[in-house]
Amino acid sequence: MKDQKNKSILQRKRAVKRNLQAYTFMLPNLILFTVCSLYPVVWTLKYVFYQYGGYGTGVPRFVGLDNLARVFRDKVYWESVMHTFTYGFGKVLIIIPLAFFLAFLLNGQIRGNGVAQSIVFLPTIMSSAVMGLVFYLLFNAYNGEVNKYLMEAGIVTRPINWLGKDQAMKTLILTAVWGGVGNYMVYFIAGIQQVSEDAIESARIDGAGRLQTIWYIIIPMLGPILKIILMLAITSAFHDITNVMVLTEGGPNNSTMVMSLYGYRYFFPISAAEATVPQYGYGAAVSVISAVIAGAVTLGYLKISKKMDSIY
Amino acid sequence: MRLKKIMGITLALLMMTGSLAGCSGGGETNATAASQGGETTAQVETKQTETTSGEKTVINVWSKDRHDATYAQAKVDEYNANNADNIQINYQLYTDNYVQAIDMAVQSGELPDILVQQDQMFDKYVNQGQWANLYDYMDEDMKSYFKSVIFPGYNELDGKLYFIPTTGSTCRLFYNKEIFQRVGIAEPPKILEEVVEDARLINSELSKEGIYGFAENMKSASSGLQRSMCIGLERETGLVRGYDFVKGEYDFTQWADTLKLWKELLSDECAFPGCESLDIDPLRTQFAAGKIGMYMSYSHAEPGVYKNQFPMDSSKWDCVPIPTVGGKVAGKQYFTGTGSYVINAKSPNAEKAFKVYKDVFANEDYLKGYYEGGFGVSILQSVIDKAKPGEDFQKKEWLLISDLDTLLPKPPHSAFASGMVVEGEDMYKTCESIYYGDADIESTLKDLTERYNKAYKEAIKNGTGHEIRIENYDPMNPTLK
Repeated sequence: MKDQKNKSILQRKRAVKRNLQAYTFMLPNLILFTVCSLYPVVWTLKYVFYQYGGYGTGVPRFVGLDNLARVFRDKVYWESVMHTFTYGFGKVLIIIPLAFFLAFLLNGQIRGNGVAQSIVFLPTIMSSAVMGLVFYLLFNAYNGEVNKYLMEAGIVTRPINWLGKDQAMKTLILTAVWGGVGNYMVYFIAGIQQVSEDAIESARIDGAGRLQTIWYIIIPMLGPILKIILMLAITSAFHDITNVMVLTEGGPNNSTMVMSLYGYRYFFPISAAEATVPQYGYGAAVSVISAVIAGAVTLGYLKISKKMDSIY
Repeated sequence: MRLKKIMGITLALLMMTGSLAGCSGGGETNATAASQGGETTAQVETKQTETTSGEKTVINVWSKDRHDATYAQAKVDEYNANNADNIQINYQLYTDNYVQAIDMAVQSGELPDILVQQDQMFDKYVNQGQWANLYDYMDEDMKSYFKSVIFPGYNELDGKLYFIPTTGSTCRLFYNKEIFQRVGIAEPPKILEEVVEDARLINSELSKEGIYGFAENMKSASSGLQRSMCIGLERETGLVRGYDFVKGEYDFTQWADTLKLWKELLSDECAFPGCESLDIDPLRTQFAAGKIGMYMSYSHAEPGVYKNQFPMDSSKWDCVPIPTVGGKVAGKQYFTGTGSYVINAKSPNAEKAFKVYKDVFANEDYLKGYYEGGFGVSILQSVIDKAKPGEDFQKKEWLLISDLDTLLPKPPHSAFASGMVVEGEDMYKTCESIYYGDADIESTLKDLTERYNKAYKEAIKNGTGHEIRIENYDPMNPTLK
């Protein structure tokens, strides 16, 4: 019995010794993960149950489930969830086909393709805040370049209020598409280059036209990468807030308020008003419910998209 | 095998050190930025103080004001070059992130010695003994010089003086005289109905030229309304942000008439296109370019803006009090003291910090130059008598603080802002749902009143707030206590 125990301790010691190197390699990442990811999540979960205005505003007050219940009563929050879906699906519906089209167009061995690819990719490396400002200069109603050209061309007689309540969401989607299309184009190019030349050649010999080759050969063979591209597009659409902050701050009348920005403004009040103070507890509750919604959408998508993995 | 393991562990440790060094790399970058005159974190400044000061005592000053930064910096440089007290002032400018920077500095015990006063940061830390009592340092001459700007309940609390306002600001309606002349408006509007009428006239006559009647910076409803509609409502209703100090409750239903007119004012018939996404500076550029007939803003800032930032001929613009519905006046309007500084009571150099404050920022020459330069409207009689202010302040009487303006007491949502949690949208966003949405005015304001009163009562019940009611409160002659 004693021998068996000693043997087991010895085995464990050996296992630890054997894996020491692996643990040591993991340590930096574990530390960073704990400090930068785990701790903030635990912190946020804790404050869901408190009313707290931040440092210097007194002791946090335990309020139980009040903050969560308040989220479910908050009409503006649920409107912001709907806006997030509008924004997310609008962006994905435009950006994916456009990125695929550009990838297909710029993938061939044509002179100048490299330059064209770089130009399309350029907005991806630009700061979202700068991009927002550029789009503000282009689209503002009073002296924006877009209105100027439309009026000069005689297409409109009055300036269009691109950032007004009827058009602001469309303008935001356009900004997001412009800023992200280059990124997805690169993914598609990588995917297209993986498609077997033999399969394309065979299709051509069998008499398939260009469009038929794309539809029946290339797109199905892009299945696994398309799954990842779509997932990235959907998840990124759920936490895009910089554009919204710079262009509209969620307005007018909350018509472009998305759920991440709605939660953010309770942690960091975005208006210049001195009366606005943080509400960490409520912000935490909003963030947690938003994360659950985003997680549910991602899981739902992964379930639906399972087929894509095993196409070819 | 053993050597391989040792190498592996060494490499892993190196990686870890690299990662952690990466995390602390920001400090070095910031220090470089600071040495180049950039804005840095509080930690870096403190390190700088310790390492570069040598024998000199470094007094750190933080400001949030961009508009007077050049003037203040020049005075600081002059002091640094000439003072015989072996003091070096390190003047730093924080703008959008002022309150957050202070929060971080308080938490890490690295608050500077002197800070430009701002309501939110002052209220947050005054009860923690963070700000020095200036009476402890002031001599009798100084006390007597600033006597007229000491207001119990505002800057003097429980017999302690925390800051001294030297300039003041209120809100006015600014208008373009040239545009008024072109459409035949003889006089600036005196009632809110006239503002709507004049704006509509300008739009109908001049919108083809890209000139519009009225604009406000409505990208942020709170920023826009706090400098415009809310100010008019204080005079019109005698309530402060909807709070009745006599009854001790909120009543937003009295805002209905004003909101009806504001809905018209912000419609396509009267307003500058794109007000919904307009910040104050883009608005000012358009006003300076002669594209906007009227807007409302702070009186202290505009003269400097049109003199330095977005040049505009002074003869082309003027200002008047913000008109009310039917010209009704039931109370005074908000006026706030500016040009105030607080001293960090926990600073080891508090005494020297006060000396710097007295010699630089509370010095009459500084205050005179400040007023003359158009950076603020002086509220000190001695400065007003001696200064030769710019043309704007001499010719435009409503730029100065007048009998209309007074210090107003703080309603509950300001007095204990983090203790009173209002469910749903605040008063500003609620107004936005009326003028940019389809919300019904009467029922929305009734609901707003109920939500604010409920939050106020809950704050009292929870102990996160207290009852605020002022005996014999007269809105025409308000008292702070």
